[in-house]
Amino acid sequence: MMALPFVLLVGAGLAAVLGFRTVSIWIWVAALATMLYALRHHATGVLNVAL
Amino acid sequence: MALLARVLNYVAVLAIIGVLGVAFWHQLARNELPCALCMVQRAGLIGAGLGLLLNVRFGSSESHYGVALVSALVGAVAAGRQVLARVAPGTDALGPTILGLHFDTWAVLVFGVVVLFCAVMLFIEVQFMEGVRDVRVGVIAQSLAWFFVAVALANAVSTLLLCGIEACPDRPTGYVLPWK
Repeated sequence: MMALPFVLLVGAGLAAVLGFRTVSIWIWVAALATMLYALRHHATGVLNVAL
Repeated sequence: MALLARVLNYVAVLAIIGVLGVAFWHQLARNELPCALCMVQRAGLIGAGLGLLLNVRFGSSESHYGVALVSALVGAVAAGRQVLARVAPGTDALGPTILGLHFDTWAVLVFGVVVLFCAVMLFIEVQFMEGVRDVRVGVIAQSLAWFFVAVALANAVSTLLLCGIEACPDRPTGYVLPWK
């Protein structure tokens, strides 16, 4: 699950390199969603902060 | 000024690759495995680099800076959260220091610099007048873009080896090698 943002960011980077700007930005949006999920999952770990 | 903006975007992407390289060096050479929040910070940094890379590849756009800004803010929240966890009584620090500052503190500073960079760059309005276009990029820009993708791929592989396909432990203790 944690690898998913990175995999998506690689896809976004590849799309950018190959010239697909809009596709790249949409893949980044998906990566952002997974980043936020990972952040929410792990930000509550150490101190059990309600988030 | 448009040329200056483009050059600054090149430099910023290179700087982000450099920061990711330093983190990788500590991981591979000194076996300091990144924690889960550190990985979120790396992803935020790659996202910020992607936004600036879009500027290099397609010309400057406000939305590209938006990509960089939002990614940097997510990374900054992760880094700030880690700093707060470290300074709280009863918790121990993660990892070594560089020039007296922990990695998470450096991450907060780096993300702050990215946000400040984007904010300042947005004042250079002449760079937006050419509009976004699918430019035929030069060898340097294309090489930089492929290098950036390679760094992102290396992070993806590293994270897969550390966490597998499941949720990562807060503090990974070793690689989850598929052939073990």
